[in-house]
Amino acid sequence: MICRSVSLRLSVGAPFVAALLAAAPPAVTSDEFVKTIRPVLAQNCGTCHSPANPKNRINFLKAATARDIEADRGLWRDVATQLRNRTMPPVDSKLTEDERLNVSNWIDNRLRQTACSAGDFAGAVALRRLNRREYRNTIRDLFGIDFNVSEIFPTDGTGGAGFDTNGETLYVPPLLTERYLEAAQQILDRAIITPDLVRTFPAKPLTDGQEFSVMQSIYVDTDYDVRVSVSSTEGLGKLMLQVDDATGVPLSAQQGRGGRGGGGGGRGGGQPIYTVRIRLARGLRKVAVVAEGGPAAITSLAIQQKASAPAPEKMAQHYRLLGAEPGSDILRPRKAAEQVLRTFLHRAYRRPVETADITPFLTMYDRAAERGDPYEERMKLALKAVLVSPDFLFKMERRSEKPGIYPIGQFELANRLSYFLWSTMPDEELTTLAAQGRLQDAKVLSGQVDRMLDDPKSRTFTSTFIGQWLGTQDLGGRAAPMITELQAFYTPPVAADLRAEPILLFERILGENRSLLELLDADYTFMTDRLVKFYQLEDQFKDFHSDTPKLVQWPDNKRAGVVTSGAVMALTSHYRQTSPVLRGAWILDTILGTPVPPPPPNVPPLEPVTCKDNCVETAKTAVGMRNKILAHRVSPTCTACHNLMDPMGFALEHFDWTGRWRDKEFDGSAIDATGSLPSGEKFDGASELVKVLMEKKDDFARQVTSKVLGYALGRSLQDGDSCTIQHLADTLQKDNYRGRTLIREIVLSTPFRNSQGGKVTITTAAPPPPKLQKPMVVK
Amino acid sequence: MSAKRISRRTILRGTGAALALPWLEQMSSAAPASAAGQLTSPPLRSVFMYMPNGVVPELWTPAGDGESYEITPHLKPLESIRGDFMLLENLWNAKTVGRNGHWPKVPAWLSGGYVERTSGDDLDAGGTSVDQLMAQKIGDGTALPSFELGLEATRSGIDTAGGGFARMYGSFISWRDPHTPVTKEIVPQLAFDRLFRSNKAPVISGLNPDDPRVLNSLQRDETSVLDLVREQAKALRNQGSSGDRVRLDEYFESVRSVETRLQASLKPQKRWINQGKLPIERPGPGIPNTRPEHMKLMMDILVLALWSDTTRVATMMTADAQTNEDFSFIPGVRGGMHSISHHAEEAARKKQYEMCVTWHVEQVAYFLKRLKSLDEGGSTLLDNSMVMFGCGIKCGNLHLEHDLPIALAGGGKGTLKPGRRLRFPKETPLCNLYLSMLQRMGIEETSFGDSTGTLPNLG
Repeated sequence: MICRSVSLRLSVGAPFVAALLAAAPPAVTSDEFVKTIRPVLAQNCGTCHSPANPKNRINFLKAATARDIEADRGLWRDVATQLRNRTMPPVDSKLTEDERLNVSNWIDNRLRQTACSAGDFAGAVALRRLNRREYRNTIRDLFGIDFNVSEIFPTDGTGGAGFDTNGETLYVPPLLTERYLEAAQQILDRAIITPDLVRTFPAKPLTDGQEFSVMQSIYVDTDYDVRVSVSSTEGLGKLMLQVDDATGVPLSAQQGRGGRGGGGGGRGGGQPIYTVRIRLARGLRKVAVVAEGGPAAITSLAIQQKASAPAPEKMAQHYRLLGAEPGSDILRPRKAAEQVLRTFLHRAYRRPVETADITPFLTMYDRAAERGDPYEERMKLALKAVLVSPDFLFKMERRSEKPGIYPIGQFELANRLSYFLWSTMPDEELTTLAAQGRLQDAKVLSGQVDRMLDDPKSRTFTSTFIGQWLGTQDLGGRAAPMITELQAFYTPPVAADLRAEPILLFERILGENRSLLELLDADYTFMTDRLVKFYQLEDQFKDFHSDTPKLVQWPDNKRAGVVTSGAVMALTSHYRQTSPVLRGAWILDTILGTPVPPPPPNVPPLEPVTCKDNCVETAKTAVGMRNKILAHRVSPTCTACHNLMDPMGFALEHFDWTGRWRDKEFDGSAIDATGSLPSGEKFDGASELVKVLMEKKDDFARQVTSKVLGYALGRSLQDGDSCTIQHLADTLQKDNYRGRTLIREIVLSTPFRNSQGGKVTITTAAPPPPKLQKPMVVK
Repeated sequence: MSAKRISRRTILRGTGAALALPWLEQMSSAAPASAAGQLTSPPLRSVFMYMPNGVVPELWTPAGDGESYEITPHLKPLESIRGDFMLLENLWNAKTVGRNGHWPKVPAWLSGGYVERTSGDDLDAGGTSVDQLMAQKIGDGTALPSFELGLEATRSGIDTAGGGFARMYGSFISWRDPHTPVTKEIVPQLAFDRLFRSNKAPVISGLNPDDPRVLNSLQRDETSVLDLVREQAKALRNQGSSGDRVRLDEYFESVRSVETRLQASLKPQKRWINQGKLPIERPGPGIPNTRPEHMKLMMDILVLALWSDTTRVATMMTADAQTNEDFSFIPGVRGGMHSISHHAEEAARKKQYEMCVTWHVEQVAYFLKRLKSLDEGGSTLLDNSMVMFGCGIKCGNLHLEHDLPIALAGGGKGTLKPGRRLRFPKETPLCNLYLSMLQRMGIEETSFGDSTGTLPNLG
């Protein structure tokens, strides 16, 4: 629920808000701390957190000067976060919204400016399992099989910087373990061809009601023909087949073998044969024949798998993995198995393996060998265990308990790099470089980053990163769902094209090493026939024909960059109504990385809905809507944040709730797309807003840096990372914001190439509130 | 042998012809000889059914104070079975009060705990959820200790505008411990197969489970595989840092729980066996095109799970928090439910919201009526169940936290007296209901969450 109010004029909190939004971060002076910041905190928090209070364990007020903050960075990071998240102070405090915003921003800025005072920081990446995408890609590279795990595995959680690479939210519930077993079986059944089962058992004649049974391992879920030969049909009643004692099915005389005579037994060249085709599931099965209504002179029972003819590429896959044709005689099978496992484990574990790594899987081989399984099935069992083992499922890294920063191993670095840019296991070149011990070399690493970004496999990074960062991956699903009233122009393929626009933009920036600022102001996009229709640009694109996205210039300056993209405009709207508040909040949070606090609890909704009938009076006209929003500026609770959010949203009012351009309001009146920020910038419409955003490129650079870093590291960013982020952002600025510079510098950064031992103080973006805190009750 | 009647147990075990799903279809309608170890009376089941985005308060809660009441518009779909449920009023979750309108109110719904605000590095539901506590205490009596169903994939991202909560919180009402959500199944076919996978016992008919042929059979391979990887995890754990240990422990526990389940299925369990057939077929792959179809399949599978005594504890999320799925399939409704729920007291909008909520009650009614239609030897499946349903906020528009919309259906195996409306003192902990349910499930707890006692007068 978004329900806040807005002011277009400067109001009470103007000076600090102006400072906040100035292009350069404000110079945070320690003087200000003594004069302004600390007094506010002392007044609002001092009752419980006074340094004089012996029960107070959260002693941030002991800082007398700004310099003292650095000694307790983690604690102060908490203070800012608690203020921003409204977890503190309790609701009955007198802290104003202006003060809340002012103080938390001051602390953030101060911490940022002094980020590197704490020394180097690498942090420790939590142990991460492969997420769904990584699992699928890794299986593809291991076996050459595209196995769609999203149909089997539950959706991964996201967290930290907001990505599904975040180890802290990649849980391993029992449900997933079940699915790992099942997926492994299905994958191996596709990768390895088990020779068709054909087996004949000699049998003895049965008296009426007697049964003859055999135990047989069934390897493949499919149809089987069961054939029973009888020496004579004399007195024969019915022959029934039972599997695992379940209900019997009758066998019938085989067609085309004579078949005259009442008893029905086939006569022909040989003995009469009775047969039935049944479907059998994998497992040891008891297969029994029962004579009913008379004796049966059976002589043999045969089980024959329905013949299969594997496709040539399947045969090739099999050969690549096992180094032998299906069913071929292998001279020393156990030796061969060991060799296959050695090669496979090296790849599946993504590191060199030792004999001790192989032995456990050979015991699986032995288990299957002892019961007489064919070679292929023995290998399946051993490999199944590999695919469920922690070394395969997790990105293992050796740890040091010794305090301090240390470089991670060569293969570990190859893994981090490969899963960062490709979402899959390292390829041969990376593995070779790791084996040669050359990956920690900065030149080699830079070269690899370029090579990997040039490879089409890097598309998985661009699309995942953009989709999850901007939230556009949900378009057409959770956000802006397909609804019937829009089907004339908004269909699943259109949604796909809309999702693709920002991804292709990012891809181009990385591909051609262009400026990341183009994410904000690109005057081009990637058009399809469908998008021409969606954007209603038929006149401007008369000669354009393309089913696939094609690079084009926007014909005018109505749109630029991702902020104005159809996808973003749609996902920041309500049903049938644009939301200046949501749009402004989205820009502050997603693009600038300066989120505003959530609304205080239980604020009544501000934005009435747009509709033709039964509307509250003010909502019937666009002017009424805007005035209603503006009217709330009298409330001091709301102005502090809404002064920031809403003007930006107003500038985007030319985009309707589906993301299309509109010249007029829903009631026919003219669009008012003017807005001005507390810091003084005035703008009319999207293109002028984009110019203002371009002035805030430092905020943007820091934001995009933290996002890519968070995605790459797969952990929540911590206070110690601020130094890295600032350093990366500075480097980025010096190199004209070139996309590849960012990726390369992240790969070369301390936290990416190192790990940290000993106790790493973890201060996250959202610390738990202190234990003493009682739930806040609004009466 | 030839004339032998097939008991349901035999069929469930004898899965040689397993692909001819469902096995239940094959079952003889004739009564089997009573299997050894079978329960002589039906067990008590607990189901928790979550509805999203609150209700219209005045359309849920009847006017006045009395035990009898006039059916309200939201409850209309339940009118024909009004004798089978009771309205429980004035319950709340104190620890969610004054916080974000949705995210913390989902994990807390069944845990009663204080849900930590986090972007995901350390989720904390404030406690183990009541269903999972039940599963941990009595779940070893069934093939599945508990069964978690839903309709929506886990939400992603951080709701910065909503105060920095990981949206994942909105997708889980079941928590194995305060830090570990239990993933729910949303694909009908997978949920259906899960019931039977747990029944795919490695028992080979006619053979003793300890027979070497059984121990060495294909059916036992997975146990060996799990055994092996569990040992590997143990070894790795001793090398890792403390951060790694947490995750490896989770993996270890996860493997162990699947292993235990496989082991348990080796031994005949004392279970309740219902006679007859339940005509529920194995669903096709994937997620059905429409929400009503999807919902019906999941409800049917849940009925099957309870009827076949595959589990006695289940949760069902008819939608996730803040669901913004398109509800236009309801005639007269346009758009996503969450945006509709913030109707700002605008009449046309509020009407649509009302329809969305009532549609959810209709789904619950469908489920309850199915339970009621199934005989368990003199009593119905509904008689032998406790089905709690409702939401963690009273009003979707304002996120009100008092007097949550909560109802309890079923006879609780004779321990409940449904058909009434019970008004407790204002701000009675919802956890008091959970404590009452725990004790009825035979779990000797003296408190749960922030409970102050049991709910009086339920029976």
